[in-house]
This record gives sequence, structure tokens and C-alpha cells, in this order.
Amino acid sequence: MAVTQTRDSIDDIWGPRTPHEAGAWPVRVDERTLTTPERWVQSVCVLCSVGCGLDIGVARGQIVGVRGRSDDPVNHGRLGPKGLHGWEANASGDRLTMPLIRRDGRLVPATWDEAMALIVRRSKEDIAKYGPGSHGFYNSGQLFLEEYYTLALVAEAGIGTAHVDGNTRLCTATAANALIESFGTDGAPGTYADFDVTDAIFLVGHNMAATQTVLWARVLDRLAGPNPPKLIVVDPRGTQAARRADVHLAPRPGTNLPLLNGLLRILIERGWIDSAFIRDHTVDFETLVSATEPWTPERVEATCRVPADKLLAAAEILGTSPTLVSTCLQGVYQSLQATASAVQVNNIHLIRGLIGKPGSTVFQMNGQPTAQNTRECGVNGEFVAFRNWHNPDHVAETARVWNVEPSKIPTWTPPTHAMQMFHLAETGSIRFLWIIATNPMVSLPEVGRIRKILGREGLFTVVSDAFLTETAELADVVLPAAIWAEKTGCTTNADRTVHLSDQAIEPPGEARSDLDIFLDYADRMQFRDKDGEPLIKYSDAAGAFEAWKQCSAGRPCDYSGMSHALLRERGAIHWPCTPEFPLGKERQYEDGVFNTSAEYCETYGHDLATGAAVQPEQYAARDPKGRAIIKGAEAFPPPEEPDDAFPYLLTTGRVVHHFHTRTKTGRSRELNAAAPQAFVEMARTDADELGVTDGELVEVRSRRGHVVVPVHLGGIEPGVVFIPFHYGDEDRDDTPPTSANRLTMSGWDPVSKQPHFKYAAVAIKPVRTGNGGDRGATALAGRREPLTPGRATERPEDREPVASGRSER
Amino acid sequence: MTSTPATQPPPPPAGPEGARNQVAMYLGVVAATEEQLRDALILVAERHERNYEISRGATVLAVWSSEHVARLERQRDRYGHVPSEAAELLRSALLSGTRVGVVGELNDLCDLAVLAEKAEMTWTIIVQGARELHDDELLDIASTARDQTRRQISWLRTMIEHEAPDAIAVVPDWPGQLAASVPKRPEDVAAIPDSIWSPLAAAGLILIVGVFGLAVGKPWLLPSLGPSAALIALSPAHPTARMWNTLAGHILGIAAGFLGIALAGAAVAPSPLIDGQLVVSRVLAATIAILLTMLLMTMFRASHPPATATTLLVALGATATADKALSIVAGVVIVALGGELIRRFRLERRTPSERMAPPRSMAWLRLRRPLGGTGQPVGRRAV
Repeated sequence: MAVTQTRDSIDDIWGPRTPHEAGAWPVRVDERTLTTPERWVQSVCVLCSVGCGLDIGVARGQIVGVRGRSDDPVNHGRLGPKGLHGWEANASGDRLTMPLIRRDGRLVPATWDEAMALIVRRSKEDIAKYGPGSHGFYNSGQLFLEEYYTLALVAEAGIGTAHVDGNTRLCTATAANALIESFGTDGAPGTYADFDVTDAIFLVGHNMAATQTVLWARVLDRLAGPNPPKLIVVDPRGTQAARRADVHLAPRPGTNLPLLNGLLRILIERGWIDSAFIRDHTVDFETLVSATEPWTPERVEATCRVPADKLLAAAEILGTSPTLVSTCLQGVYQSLQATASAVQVNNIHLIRGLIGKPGSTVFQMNGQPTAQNTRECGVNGEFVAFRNWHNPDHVAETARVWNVEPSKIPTWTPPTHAMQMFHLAETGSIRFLWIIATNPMVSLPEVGRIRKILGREGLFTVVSDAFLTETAELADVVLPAAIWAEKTGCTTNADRTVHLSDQAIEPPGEARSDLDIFLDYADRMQFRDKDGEPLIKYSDAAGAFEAWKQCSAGRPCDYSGMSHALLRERGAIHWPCTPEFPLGKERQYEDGVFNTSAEYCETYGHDLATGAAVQPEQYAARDPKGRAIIKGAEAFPPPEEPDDAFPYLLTTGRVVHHFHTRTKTGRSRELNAAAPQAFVEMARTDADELGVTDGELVEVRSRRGHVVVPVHLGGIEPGVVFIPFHYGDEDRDDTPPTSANRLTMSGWDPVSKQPHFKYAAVAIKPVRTGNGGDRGATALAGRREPLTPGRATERPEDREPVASGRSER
Repeated sequence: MTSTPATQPPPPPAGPEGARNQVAMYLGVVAATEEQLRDALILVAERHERNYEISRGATVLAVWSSEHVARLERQRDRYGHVPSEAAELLRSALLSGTRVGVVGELNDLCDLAVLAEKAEMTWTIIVQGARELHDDELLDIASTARDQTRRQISWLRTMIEHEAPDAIAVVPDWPGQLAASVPKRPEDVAAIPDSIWSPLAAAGLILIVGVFGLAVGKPWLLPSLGPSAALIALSPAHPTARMWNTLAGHILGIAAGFLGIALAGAAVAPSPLIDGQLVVSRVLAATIAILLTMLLMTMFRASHPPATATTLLVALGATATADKALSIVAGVVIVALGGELIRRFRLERRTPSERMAPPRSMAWLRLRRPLGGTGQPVGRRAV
């Protein structure tokens, strides 16, 4: 009956050190159970993209805690604060337990039959009247592989609409696009184990310490051991990771591309390149030479405000280290020219030949636990199993697997991206929008506009979710969804490790898994294949997995050697897993052959400046045939700049204790107490200039909206401010607005279409109420106490800065 | 991006002297086309600013066209420059009407592609010419510009491929499309649909003339002002709607009218407009006057079709006195001046640098000094 807690992860986020010398990472099992479990059920943590193996402790039909799996290659037993606490959300009292239907403007309970009948009636009507293009599906990075695959079948082969995208567009679209542009297909080249042996680590816009705590613990254990790797961090904020760095580069927000071009220029100029590798395994190196040529260290310093000597110091490590692991996350993906910048990090590895070997790889990280699966299954703007929309052979192959006519699958246009989908809903083209496990009312840019769109007359909105989110409140039909631990399915993390998460408990009330909801919808819609048989021929997760295996066979993400049974037995397996590699393959591209040949590649690539698609015949004419593609990119000025009216640059991101829109983490008492509310982080000099103090309420205003939040003095560059995006608001008159996305702009990268969450010009002014004395003085009470226990004497600047990354459920 | 430092004196033009004029001619065509393309891109960016993809994409492409124009200056110094109206005429046939919703976006993208194709073809001509002339400097500029123009076309193609299914296969929801097309900034006059703009602009011009006429007690309001006002309101980008054309066209029309009367000896003949009777000398006067008007307008590069109405008013004897002719001139001056204001208001485009960033911000200044660091200012006001 005892409470077991191996460590207090709220206070000590990364836990005790287990140093080692470039070898096997020691095991440390983290556990937190509130009572002794009756049984343990194999699963995986779904609160960030690391994907730590864990066991769910169950007693009397309830989750009572979790513990890390000691034999899991991803975490070696460790868990972070979100993983150790987030499971409490499953048992929240405010879970949705019945379908809801809007009647006379109010959501009222209904039966499944009523709700599904209404959805199907409206869906059939709209298809008949307005065509398949009237349907849009906006999904998530939170479902399981089997559910994404079923959604792909429903939307693309059942209805035949190209309007399918996920909120992963907000967090990992750039990761996918950067990998595709350089290497031909999506999928990380390396493995997390590369961190254990590398000589240098390059974190670009990636606050690993806050967003991926277990992976950071892995790095900390290297830093604490003998022969620590050199660490370079690119981040405008003085994060925990930045403080441990050998070289910390703090560029002005929005200037990643000039900075990376500057680094590449030094590598080329100094000859820190592997000419043989470039010659034998890459094409188009000259585009990089000409694109980086103008970016001298002096010019980089003027544009990015990064001192030339620091740039040189970083370049020297990057250029001379025998091995190198680089990672990018939202600091790149949600900033300007995202894909172009992420591709430059790939280029560093390509021109140095540091890829496909132990200790040398590049991670284009993911934000969400199953983002990789939504990409593999083709419901995040990619075509199923990393196939190529533009390649008729790939389309025919898919049509064969699905047993439909190739013309049924809408491959004449690339899949509509999320922002465009909402624009189409705004113009009335999309009239049936199904939002699955995501909360665009908090997470999309310019939320005021999103509210108007969702409230539009003529738009029928279905929301499947576990909670009545800000988005669900605007829906016409709300379906209660089962979540992690209440259903069985697979997840694949950012290093291609596949885990199985078994059902541990029953879903609350009448809640159903998204898989069951899609299967029911498909059944009622009577989707048929070309022989008149039901389009979807399976009825459970194991069946869906078997169908997916067939679909993925022969592609880079080949699951054909796996099964639910094998995953249960082995715990974690990398894809590709084939007869040739029955236990999975740890690294891709070990032979320096990439997936770029014209008949195999996932797209023919894009113009990084404009997003224009390269035409098939253009690509075929210069078929790289397995060589990686080096793409230089020119830098453009940003869409808006600070000026007299809006003098500060805003960047947004995460805090360590929350995930996405706090749908789960906000329901854990301890996590919520640790970080209960929004704030704006700014440099002391800026605060002094404005005449505000720590904890005082200020109004932050952009060209699109405003929020009112307390000041939090922190280690951030002067002129730059930071607001976490987790904190949605109800849009009521009696509470001040706090949602960072009231300020962000509806702008995005031309290639990946990922919004620029980390770039907006804002103005700040104090909010002075009647007796100016205690203005908001209590505002930060909640967050201070747990974050800085026993460290009362520290200066605010020394506090753990918290941020980066995004998306949701 | 390659470009020769502006500090060095330009090398002399290559090739035989007789060939220079041809190069100058195509430099004129390409410069005018790129200017029109730049302005059209900015117009489209402003019209569809709720669609970020179009708005931002078109702005980036407009910067390229701006840079091409700036880089041409040195070549114009070398080879000379023959002005061309071809691009302006092409542009005036494009981008007009109400461009609302996805269909409107698609139509605008198609129209941009026409201008971009014209630019690409002309650059190709110059590239080939520069090769033949062994002019490396011109070749460098022209081939860089041609490659970028091809990238502009690729972008347009990608956007069109992406939007067409929605424009064609989906039943439009007009209230939604209209709401999504309303400009975010009402001061962007370019974003007002033609169907609203042109009736108001034409009526406004006539009202101004009338108000001035009433104020001074003169009959300045005359029939030939109607076509001019309509032209300026409907096709502000058309070269015939320019102030010079309006002003000179009508004055030439008056002159031609009087000349026609004199040559045909119709000074005392009855006027079909007043007396309701047509005589041979009036037919002759009208024919000669129109012939002269057309000749004179071509000579003075002042083509303005509505001016022929003035010609006939005079030649047919309705306004064939110096006093009445002065009334026409007064009305024409007001329409030409007012019309130029309206035209500028409608066509005035902020330069790409101003569009991409607030004026005087860092980005704006940097654009004025482009990223390539050529020291050449990029943006110059259109019109």
C-alpha cells in the first residue's frame, strides 16, 4: 500500500547523475506509484518525443503509478517529471464520458448512435452536395500508429479528400521536410545511443533540458563523466542547456539561417570538410558555397548579434570534432525560414561526412510522442509509408495495397496543410471539419481568427477528445475518446524506436478509442474497395498493425518484420525491421547511400526560398541516385520587425512542467502547482527601462492581439521576451487574456508550412490599477515556490529558464 | 547572387555598334516587364493578404523583380535604353475585375504567370544575345535573373496546382469567400474590388468637374469627359489612361477638330448635333479631324481614345467656338489631374521592402541595401 517515489522529479527534474565514459549508459529505474500495483502493464510514455519505455502500475482497475523499463534502449529505466505525473490525468473527474450534440446552441449528452448518425448524415449530405473536398480532418501527434493508418484509409481512400493534416504541422513538419530535402525520405538517420559515444553535441534551438528531460539526463551523464563531449548550444535564452555549453550562441530571434550560413562558410573556408564524402555521396555542394559566401563572421555578427570570436569557436568544434551529434527543435522549426535552416544543420554533417556512423548523426527532433507515426501513415501532409504523391508508381502501389482505383486517392495535389485548411474553412470550402485529439483554439497562431472560423455558420465541426477543451466547446458534436493506457497501439519516437502500449484500464464511461470511432464511421459510411468489399478489413489494433505492415513493406519505414507479439517480447524495436534486419536497424545510411533516387524518394524536393515544388522531370534529369542533396539557402528579411510601436521581439515556447495545451499536465496537481500560469520573461535591463519589477502585471501587445501576464526576470537577451504558449484563456471579459497565440502571426515556412510561433514584434506596458502598490505582486506566488525551493537567495536571472517546443492534446 | 561592384566604371558595350540598339530595345522590354511584374506581385500580395502563403510568397518574388530592375541600370548605361509600352499594355489586360475567394486567388496567380513568362522569355532572348556578343557581364546578370524568373514561375505553378482543386470542385460559399477576402488594412486601396472601385471613381471624377463648374459658373461638364473618367476608373494601369495621354489627347482632339472644319470649309455648315441635319462638309470635317487626331496622338505618344469624342464635338460644330473649346480644356484639366490622383491612389504600391517590414525598421533598411550588399537601393516607388 505504500507510496513509492524513487525521486522528486518536480524539484529535481533530471535526477541523480550516473556518469559514464563514452560507453553503455547505466540503468536507473525511476518509479512513482501511489499504492502497490496489482499488476504492471507494458507501455511507453507519451508526453514528449523521446518515447521512454515504462510499465503502468494498475490496482483495482485504476492506474496507480508508473516505472521506467530498465531494459529499454531509450531511457534505461529513467522517467521525467511529466511521465511520472502525467498519468493522473486519466482519472480526472472532468473526462468526457458521453457523446455531446449541439442543440439550440448548447452541447447536450447523447448516445453514440445519435452522435454517429448525425455525423454520418451530415458527412453524406456534404459529399453529395459539395464533393469530397468539403471534408477536412485535423488530427494530432497523440494517437497510435494503428489509428493514423485507419484515418489515412478513411480520408484518402474512403472519402477521397486531400484535406488531412495534424497538429504535428506545428511541431514536426519542418523535421520531416528537412530530412526529405536532404536525404530523400523522412526518418532519423541515427539513434539516441549516438549520444553515449559522441565527441561533440550541437543543440540548435533545442532546449533539451526542459522539453526532453530524459535525453538531457543522458547528456548530463556524459558531461559528468570522463572525456565529456563538447557542447554547443544555439538559443536566444540562457537556458539550463546553454549554461552547460562550451560555446553558447545567442542569436537574435529569426536569424538562424544567417548564423548557420556563417558557420558553414567557416567550415568550407578552413577546409574542415570531407571532400571525398562530398564527391562520392552528395550532389550540389556548389549551391552551398555560393549561398554561404556572403556570410562573413562580421556580417553574421551584425545580423545575428553573435560575436565573431564565438562563431569561430563554435565552428572550430564543429569542424574538427571526429564525431558529432546535432539536434534541431522548435527554435529552428517555429522560427523564420525553418526548413532552410534545418537543412543547413544536415549540411554540416554532409560536408563533414559525419552521418551513419556511431556517434555521428543529426536529429531533426519531434515535439510529440507519435509525430513520427502520423508522418509514416500519411496524415500529416506526407503520403502513406513515405511514398511520393508525384510518382505514379507509388500511387499505383498504394492503390494495390488498399484495393482501390488509383484515381480514388487524391494525389493530384499535395495534402492541404493545417493553416490552409483553416483558411479553406474560413472561405467556406471546407464545411465538415473533424478535429481529433487536438486543441487549435490554444495552439494555432492568431487564435482570435480561429475562434471566428470555428464559430462560422455552415461549418460542421466534430471534435473527438478526452476533455471538453476550448475547441470542443465550439463543436457541433463532441465524441469522448479513450486515451493512452485505455487502448492498445504502437508509437514510434524520434529515433525510429517502436514501442507497444498495451491497454491497462477501461476507458471512463462510454469513451471509445479513436480507432473504434474511425471503424464505426467507416462502417456507417459504407466505404468500399473496388471489388465492393468493405474498404477496411480489420476490426482491432492488431489487425490494423498487420495491414500497416503490408503497406509499409519495401519502404524505408518497413515494419514487415514486427508484430504486436514481437514488440511485447522485445520491448522496443527500430524500424526498418525486415527479414534482413529481424530485430530492427539502429542506423540508416551506414553505407552512405541515401533514399534520393528518383524512383524511391519521397518528394522531388522544393525551392527552399519559395516552397515551389521541383517538377518530376527536373528531378529525373539530375537524378541524385542515392547521393544526399546539399541545398544552400539565401536568407530573407523577416515579415515584421521591431519598430517604435512594437519594439520587442517575442518568442514563445514550453515550460518544463507542462506539455502542449496542458490538457493532461494541467490536470496533475503537482505539475500544475509548479507552473500554474503564464508569464513574460524579460531581461532586467528591459524591465528597468519599462519601470516594472519581477511579478508585476504587464500588457504585451502585438499587431494581432494582447495578453496581460506577470513579469518574470530571466536570462534572456535584452530586446527579446518569452511567453509560454500553454495557457489558453476562455475569452471572457472578467479574466485577462493569457494565450500567447493571441500575439503570434498567421505566417509560416514556405516549405514545411510550420507557423512562425517564435517570431513577433510586440509592445509592453505596465498595467497600473488604482492603488499601484501590490499590482500583481501575488501573481507569481504559485510558480516561485516549487521552482526554487531552498534557493531563495538566488537572483531571478539564475532561475531555471523554461521553454521551447509545442503542440498538444 | 552575383553582381559586379557598382564602383567600377562599366565596360564599353560589346559587339558591333549596329547591334546595340537591339540590345537596348530588349533591355527596355525586360525592364518594363520586371517593373510591371514587381507591381503586380505586390498588388496580389495586398489583395490576398489573408492568405499568408500568397501574400508572403508574392512579396519575396517581388523583391527579386526589384533587384533585377536595379541591376539593369548599369546595362542601360552601357547599351542605352529604348522605352517600351508592351509590358504596360499586357498588364492592363490582367488582374482586373473582382478577385474574391479561392477563385480570385487562382485567377490572380494565372495573370501573374503571364507577366512572369514574358519576363522569362525576354531574359532568354538577352541571355542568347549576350552569348553571341560575348558580353560576360550582361550574360551573368541575365542568366541569374532568368533562373530567378523560372523560380518565380515554379512557385506560381505550385500554388496553382495546389489551389485549383478547391477553386473548381468545391461549391463556393460566397459570404465566406467575401469575408475572407476583405483586406486586413482598409488603407490598402489596391485591395478594393473593381466592381466597387470603378463606379465610385468615375462618378467622383464627374462630380468634381461639376462642382468646380458650378463654383465658377461655367459649363465645364461635357460629354467627352465621360469616356475619360470611365477609362481612368476601369483601367488605371492602361497607358492610355495616363495624365499626359488624357490632357494631350483632348487638346489634340480640339486642334484636329478646328483643323478639320477649316480644311473641309464647314465653319458655317449646320451642325448635326444642334440642327439635327447632316451635310457633306460636316462629314468631311469629321473624317479629316479623326484622321488628324489619330495621327497627332501617335506622334505625341498621347493615345487616348476618349479624345476622339472631343474631336467630333468640335468638328460637328457643337463646341466649335474658342469659348466652348476652353470649357472643354478646363474640364479635361480637372479630369486629368483628378484622374491622375485617383490612378496613383489605386496603383500606388508600396515597395517590397515596405511591404515586408514596417518602414524604417531594420529589415526595411536592409532591403534598401539588399542582402547581397551591392549598395544599390532596391525599392523605387512604382508609377
